[in-house]
This record gives sequence, C-alpha cells and structure tokens, in this order.
Amino acid sequence: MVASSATKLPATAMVASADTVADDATVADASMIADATTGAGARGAGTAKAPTASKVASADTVAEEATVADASMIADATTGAGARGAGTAKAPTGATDPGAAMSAGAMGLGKGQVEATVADSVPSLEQVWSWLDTVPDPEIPVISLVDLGIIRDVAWQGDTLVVTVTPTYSGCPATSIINLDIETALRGHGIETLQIKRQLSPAWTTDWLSDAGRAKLEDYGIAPPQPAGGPERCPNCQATALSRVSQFGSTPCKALWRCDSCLEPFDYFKCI
Amino acid sequence: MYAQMVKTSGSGVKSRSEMGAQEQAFQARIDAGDKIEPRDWMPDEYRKTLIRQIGQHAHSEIVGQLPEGNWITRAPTLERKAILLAKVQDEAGHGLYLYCAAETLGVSRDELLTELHAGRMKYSSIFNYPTLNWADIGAVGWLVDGAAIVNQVALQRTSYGPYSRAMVRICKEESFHARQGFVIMMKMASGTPAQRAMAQDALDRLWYPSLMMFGPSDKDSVHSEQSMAWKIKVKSNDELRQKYVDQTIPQIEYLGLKCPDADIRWNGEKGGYDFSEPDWAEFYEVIKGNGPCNKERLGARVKAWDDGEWVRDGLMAHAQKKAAAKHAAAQEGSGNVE
Amino acid sequence: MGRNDALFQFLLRLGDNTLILSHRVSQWCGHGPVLEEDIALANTALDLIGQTQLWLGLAGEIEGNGRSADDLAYLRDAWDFRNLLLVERPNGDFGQTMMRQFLFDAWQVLMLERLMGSGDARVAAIAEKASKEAAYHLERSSGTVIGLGDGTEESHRRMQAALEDLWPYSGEMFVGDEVDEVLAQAGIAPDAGSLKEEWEQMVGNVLAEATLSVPGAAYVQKGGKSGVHTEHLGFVLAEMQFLQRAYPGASW
Repeated sequence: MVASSATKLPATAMVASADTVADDATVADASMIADATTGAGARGAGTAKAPTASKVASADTVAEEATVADASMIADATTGAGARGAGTAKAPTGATDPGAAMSAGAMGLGKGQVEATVADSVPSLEQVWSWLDTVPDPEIPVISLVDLGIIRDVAWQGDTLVVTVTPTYSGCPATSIINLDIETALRGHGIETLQIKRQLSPAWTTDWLSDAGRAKLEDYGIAPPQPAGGPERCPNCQATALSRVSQFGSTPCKALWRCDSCLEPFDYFKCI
Repeated sequence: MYAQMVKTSGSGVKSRSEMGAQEQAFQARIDAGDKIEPRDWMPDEYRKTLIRQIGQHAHSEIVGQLPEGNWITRAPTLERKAILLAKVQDEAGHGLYLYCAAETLGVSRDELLTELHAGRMKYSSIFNYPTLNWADIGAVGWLVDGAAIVNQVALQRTSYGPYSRAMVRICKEESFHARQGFVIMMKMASGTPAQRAMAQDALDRLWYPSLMMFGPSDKDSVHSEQSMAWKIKVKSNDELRQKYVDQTIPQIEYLGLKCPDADIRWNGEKGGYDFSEPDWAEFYEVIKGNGPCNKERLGARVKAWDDGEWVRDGLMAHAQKKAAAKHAAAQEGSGNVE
Repeated sequence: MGRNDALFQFLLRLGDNTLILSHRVSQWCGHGPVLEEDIALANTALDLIGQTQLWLGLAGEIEGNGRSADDLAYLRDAWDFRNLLLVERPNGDFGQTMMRQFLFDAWQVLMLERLMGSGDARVAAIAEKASKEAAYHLERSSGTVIGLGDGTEESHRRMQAALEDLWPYSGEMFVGDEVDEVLAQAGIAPDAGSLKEEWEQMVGNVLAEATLSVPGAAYVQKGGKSGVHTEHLGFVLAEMQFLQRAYPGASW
C-alpha cells in the first residue's frame, strides 16, 4: 500500500512543492513539509528517514525567497514538542543534528555560519545577540525577538548560556514556541548547554521595541505603538485622519484602526 | 481561504472589444500587475464579485470560531487552552479585518451579516463538519488552516490592494496556527493508543472535507474565468488542491497515520500525487444547507445576533447621548467638555 | 497555620478565580453580541488563563509536592477549589457576564496593586505582570457597564437586574479568614477587608455614571474561599477536566 512507495517518494515531492512555494514568495506551506522531513530525522528509531541533501537544499531554496517564521515549524519536529516554558532545555538526541542544521538553513542563517559554529572558545555575547536578532517573532515574522524587546539578558554562567526572556503578556500562547525557536537557533550555532529563563519583572512594555523593530512593523503594515495611545499615521498612505474600529485585534497586542483617507484597515500595535 | 464557488458577476469573460475605454484601462492595469485601490474606478461586476468573495471569507472566519470554540472549555491543559483561545481570537480578528476590507468597497458589515443570517451568503463548507474529539483541534489547525494558507498564499497576488495586503499578514498568523495544530497532531500520533486512534479518526473525517475547501473541480467551476482575468482568483481550484495534497501526504506519513484515500499514488510523470476526488454530491448538499452542522452553525450566529440586539442598541443609545451632551455643551460655548 | 500553608491556599484562591472566570468567559466564544465583543471576550479569557498558569504554577512550587499548574487545575475536585462564588455564577445574558466581570475586575485591580508590594518577590512579580492586563479589563468592563446602564430602557433594566443578582456574591471578596491574617501579618498579602472601602468607592462611581442604583446591604453569599461551592462548579469541572480524567497519564 501507500507505505511501500512512501519511503522513496516524499523527497522528490517535497523538493517539488517547496520550489513551487518559493515561487509564491512565501513559505507558509513549505514549512510544514520541511517539518515532516526534519522530523523524520528527529524522531529517531523506526520511521526515521534520514534527511537527504536534496531536502536540505529544498529548505534553503525556500528560505532564499522569503519569510522565515513559518519555516521555524521545523523546530517543532526536531525537538518534538519538548522544551516547554522555563528550565534547562535538554539537548536533543543525536539524530537531530541534520535537523538543526536544516532549520538553521531554513531560517536564513546561512550555511557558513552553521558550519563555523563549533569554535574553540565560547561565542561572544555580542555574537549571541546577533544570532538572536535573526530569530523572528512567530506571529509577526518581520521583527526579531530582539526587536520585540523580550530578550532581557544573555550571559555565560560557566559553560551554560543563559538567555532571559520576558513574556509580552501572561497568556502569550507563543511562549513555548518562542523558547523552542531560540533553542533551535542557538543549537544551530553550536551552543550546547543552554538555559532559557523566564523573567516576569519588570513587566514587558512596548517601550522596549527597538527603533528598527518599529520601522519594520510600519513597513509591514502595522502601525507601531505611540505614547498618545493611537497610531500616528496610516502605514499604507501616511495620512493622519484615522478612526479606531476595535480596541482588540486579532492578537491581544493589537487594535484595529482604519485610515479615513485611503480607507485601509490596519493593525495598531498597542502601547502597554 | 474560505472562498468557494464565489459567483462572478457579469456574463462570462469580456473581450477587449466589449469594453469601454475606462474598462480597458482598468484591465490593462490588472494585466500589468497594478493593485486596484478603494478610491480607484472599477467595473461594477468587479466590485460585486469582490464583495462576495471577501464577505464569504469574513463569514468563514467568524463561523469558524464555532467548531474550535466547542473545545475551549475542554482543552486538556492550560497551555493548549491558551493557544486555542488565542487562535479563536485571531479568527474573529481576521473576520473583523476582512469586513473592514469589504467596507472599502461600499458595503457595510451589517448588510453582509444580514445576507449571511438570511442564508443568501455562504461560508466555507468545512465549518459545517463537527469537531468530535480533541485531535480534531489539531487537525483543524493542520489541515484546515493548511488548506486555507495554500489558498491565501495565492491570494497575496490578488488585484485588490487592501485584500492582497491583508492576505500577507493573515497568512503569517495562520501559518503559526498550522504549526501549533501540527504540534497537537504530533503529540496525539505519538501518544497512547487512544490518542493515536483520535488522531486517525480526525484525519479520516476531515481529509475529504479539507479537499472540498478548494471548491469544485475546474471542469465544473463555472465562475472562474472572469475572476481569473480580474486576478480576484489567482490559481484554479484543481491547481491549489493538487498543491495541498502534495504537501500534506508526506506530513501524514511523518505522523504515522493513514490517509483515508486508499488510492493515493505518487505520479512521477506529473510530479505530484494522484488522489481520489471527494464526494461532490455531498459537497453540494453541504453547500445547500444539508451538512451535519449547517443548522447549528448558522443558528448559533443568528441567535448571537438576535440576543445581542439589546446590547448593540444600548451601547448605541449611550454613544448618542454622549455625543448630544457634548454638542449641547459646545453650543453653550463652554468648550472642551469630554 | 504556617506561612507556607497560608500562601499555598492564597495562591489557589487567586489562580482558581482566574481559571473559573476564564472558563465562564470563554463560553462566549463565537456567541457574542457583536464581533468586537467576541474578540474582547476571548482576549479576556486568554489573559485570565495566562494568570492562572502563573498563580497555580507558584502554588505548586510552594506546596512542594511536585504538582504542576495543570495538575492543580485538572486533578482537584470541587471541594479543593478556592475561588470566589462570584466567578462561578453562570453567564446569564451579556449584561450579567459584564457586570460579574466588572465587580471582579475592580477587586482584582486593587488586589494586584497591593500584591505588587508583597514581601514575597515571586508574588510581586506575577502581580506586576497581571496588573497591566487587569487594568485593561477594568477599563473595558466599566465602559460596558456605563454604556449599557445608561443606554436604552431595556439595557438599563437588564443591568440593574444583573447588579442585584450578583451583589450578594461580591461580599465574599472582603471576608477574611486565617489565611488572610497570616499573610497580612507576614506582609505578603493585604488584609481582605482592607480593600472594601476603596472598592465600594470605585464601583460606586462607575455605577453612578451608569445610572444604576447600588443595592442595599445584602446577605453575603460565601464559602468558595474555603471550598464550599455552589452546584455550578461541579459542572464546570466535569467539562474542564474531562480529557485529563478520561485518559489519565496521557500527555497532550
């Protein structure tokens, strides 16, 4: 039945569809495929089909074109659903190496970096910050976790890299996926012992959004937060005559507004 | 996603010679890949077709809250509950966004809702299927949002500016949901025998309905050509369905589940899978209102609207009182009364 | 009662309040009077679940028996729940839901404000995080109470009825017991009664603007804080805990 052919066919299928997707300039669907491929590696015994070069290549193709956040789905498969919340993340089993490399590739980190990670001395904190700056927010992938201001601290404690993260709000459903993405990215750069610490106080505020992050949000069509409590201008046409449609938008951090000039509905990142 | 069988206004594809100068210029802009903006001139039929499509999309988002909302109070962990709540909020938010996008075309949200409640406008057929076990919540994220994304990725290139820009952001948020849905499926598929059975059961029930989300086969899709010419629709139903199947089968295998279609075969020549068509007779029945949950879903929306009338009236009356008081104060010249 | 025992009980009260209220609010998903309210209700329920994870997580830590927030939420029976009776009241109409929310939000905002100065740093940190959300909820629920109280004749009538229905359940927030006394002495939490005056003033101002009349002194319905609940809680838990109870030990 299906299974017999399945062992050989998916690789081709995946390459094919990843390419098609890339031509659509977004990774949305390819990411889940990548997920399945990497997953096979991560899963270890039994069903494992070692990821092949062609699959990795397909993930790279995808990454070239486009968005990154979706591609990070791969991370889920690599570590299973593990690494939840705070606490020391366990090192994934040996089988995940190809997966980690692949997810790093898919995240647009570039192969060179991945290969160059096993260095003699520990990476500098500056280097770690710059790696973290390539990890996108899972829901608004145009900004990085560093842009968002939720990475509060990075420090070496002996051999352990401690990354301190502040949730944007208590019920943020992306928390465990964010932790997983951080872990996947850093492991891709050869960080072996990693602890992700949750810090509640001081509570996150939109003041911690970086200027780069604010600019990227606006480019993407989301008006950045303003102390005045409403958007400064329409992200589409820059007009300033605006009306609020709803105090809450599709995510707790956003409200929905409309431009009275070009009529564009747009999200406003609320100031908290 | 969520736009199936959207009726295209007008009669078939117009040729250049049938168009006036204004319309020819409009078509030329579309052909050149320009975006049409709300204040631009557009043919009536284009406007009407878009209203139908965006409206149906918005309706699908809000009706889509129901099958998932069904499990919020029974979610098995606090984290799963939070994730599901966030997802349902997200859908309502997308609905609101899309109603606003439809309003840029000169129709009001209330008008669209009236059409929905009267059964004159549709929402995606998928939401007329029930969510019967917890794995359905994973499968909805994975299969239903997965199918929606395939559709919406194509729609990022649609000709109407506000709709196309909305799709870019909505796709990102939905791929996050698809990812979370897949995590649930992985948990279930690698869990206890009972959990694996739930995962398989969810896949068995939702596989064909998810294929139906792309609408009828191209040979039976009567509305497509003009919509394609206007770039309201960008890829054909069958093209999108093929792409969806090709991306989903390896995922099913990865999960260690069995696709309910026994005839799935890799076809090296076309570079895609051969698969069985869903039961189109069932599809048309669901569209007509005879699906397993049509009555509950629409009934719930109508009841919410009717029960909420006093709330909307109350809030409106209060807003008017405030405005009148402000106006009166301004009349008296007392100035800045808030 | 030792300080740790008292703190454990107190954290259960906080976490159970947010958990049960979130459950109630989430029952509105997809059934709200207008789309904006659907969104806001889901958002409120989500914030409350987030707070539940924090409070019950800390409760489990303090207890020291290895119980997680999920264990506490899903594997206790009704008599071990410590939430106020107010939050388990059925939703009723939208007016009752929003009145319940308002009475609770006003109390929660004051409570969290005090807890931000708690002598226990872990409690203070959670309170700081949650207080921003609570302030937002209060802003919204008071706005709705005012809008509907001072709206049409019908909306006014419904809101007055909701207020009278729920008022007897508000008193429990200010009835202290040994748990509160131990923690007040230790400088960890405020004395329950100490919030009353400020709460009455805050609530009174909003109700006045809503043109609603504050009910006179009523018999105080209480018991939730010590585990004696109304019949409603059993059904809430039967629904909420179903999967965990039916498939013990499974990982979700």
